[in-house]
Amino acid sequence: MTVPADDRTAEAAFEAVLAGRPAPGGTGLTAFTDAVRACATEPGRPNAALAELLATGLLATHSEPSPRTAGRPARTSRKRPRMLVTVLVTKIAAAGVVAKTAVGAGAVAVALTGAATAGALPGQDDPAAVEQSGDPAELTEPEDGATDVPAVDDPVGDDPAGGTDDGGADDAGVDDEAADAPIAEEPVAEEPVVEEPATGPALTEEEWAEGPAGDQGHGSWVSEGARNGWVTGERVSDAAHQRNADRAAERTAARDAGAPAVEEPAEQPEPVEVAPAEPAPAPAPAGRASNGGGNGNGNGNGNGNGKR
Amino acid sequence: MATGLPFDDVLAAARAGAPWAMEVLYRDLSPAVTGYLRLHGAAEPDDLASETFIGVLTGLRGFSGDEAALRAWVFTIAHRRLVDDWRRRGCRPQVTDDDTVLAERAGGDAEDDALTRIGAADVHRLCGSLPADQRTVLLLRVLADLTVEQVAEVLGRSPGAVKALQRRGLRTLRAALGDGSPRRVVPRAYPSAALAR
Repeated sequence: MTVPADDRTAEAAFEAVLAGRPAPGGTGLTAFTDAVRACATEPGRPNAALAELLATGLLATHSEPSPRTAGRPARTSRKRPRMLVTVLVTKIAAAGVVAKTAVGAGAVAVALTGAATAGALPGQDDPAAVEQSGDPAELTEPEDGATDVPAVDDPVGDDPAGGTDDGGADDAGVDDEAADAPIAEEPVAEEPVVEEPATGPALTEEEWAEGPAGDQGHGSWVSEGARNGWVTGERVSDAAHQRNADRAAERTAARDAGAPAVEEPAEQPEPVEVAPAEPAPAPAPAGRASNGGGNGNGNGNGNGNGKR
Repeated sequence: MATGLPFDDVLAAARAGAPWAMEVLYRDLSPAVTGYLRLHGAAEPDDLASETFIGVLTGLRGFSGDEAALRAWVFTIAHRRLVDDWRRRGCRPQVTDDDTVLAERAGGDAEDDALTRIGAADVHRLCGSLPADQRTVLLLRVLADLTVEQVAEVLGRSPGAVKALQRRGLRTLRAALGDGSPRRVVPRAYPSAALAR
């Protein structure tokens, strides 16, 4: 019969054997532990999967990133730029003629306003250059270095000593004598591309600053001012506010009179004239003011089920 | 480690996937793991050991600790593989028959005389005479050099429970050899409670 005292003795002997100490009365336990350990001296025979793992390790499969992707930041979406362009083109293609014209005019106005603000337009500081730019004869003038790009990019006065004797290219736009220098004609070649031919050389800055003429659109007014270097953000903003105020007043007057809305001054006269000539896809509601900006998106889906 | 290399260096290299470091760990731990599985009566101890080490080597990135902790972790995986194998095979560890005499006694203390002559087959029979949980505790302490607390972690039991199992295992072992006569080894089915863990 085993008693607790025997259990404690056996435990103490077992701990001593495991620790490698001699244990009184623990010979049997020592033999048992030695025999058990003797059964565990040979490594097992690895199966195929383990043998392959031991032979190749994990270097080829997990430890190193691919050399094609290492060091590159991950892009959130590679399709995004293309998708944005596609969506933009689709929207423009789906828009009506009026909307397209408005978008185009707005883009030109914004571009010219920015260019004028940055001072990049030719002849902003010299109205004479604008007059000269309208002369098509000057387009054929450039010779011997007229298209010298560094001459255009060089800041004025950046190289005061040199360059003048070499043809005056560096002083272009500084001297009046440089008007016949080749460099003066450099921006002229780009002028017709940017905007329609100049229309108002006789217009003064004060007259322009009063706002668009009666039949002049806001965009063309801004463009005209940009060509002449008169555009400022304040003037454009004031004119826009004035235009909006005028429109609001006209709407209010039309509503009070109970008459159909008065045709607003067309900012883009071409589409307004074209629109009535086209067969209307859908009858417009009577009595609604038309500003020429409707997009005509009919969303009827025709889901009738035939029941009454 | 048995190879004389610093354990931390070997572990770091094995984590990085270096084959040589994996080989070092395998050579160091495989005998004890395979012996543990074999003495538990696993039908295919080599295959179970291979599965164990595949799990160990591919999971080293998530391991942190010293050599003793690694040993405890490896035997934890081995024990789980063993329990899974028992479940697949119908929950009965293999035991040998009882026709063989443990040992011829030369006189003196009968128990000691018998145990000093224990061979491999006798060890298998003695282990087979132990209940599985008692056998597990004794083998983990002898083969894996784990403390009572580490065995408790491997088995998911309290240290007190492990001590009780160890005490009963030693008592069973002494009783199996107590009268010094050749005895039959009674096969013990693996308890369902142990399988449920």
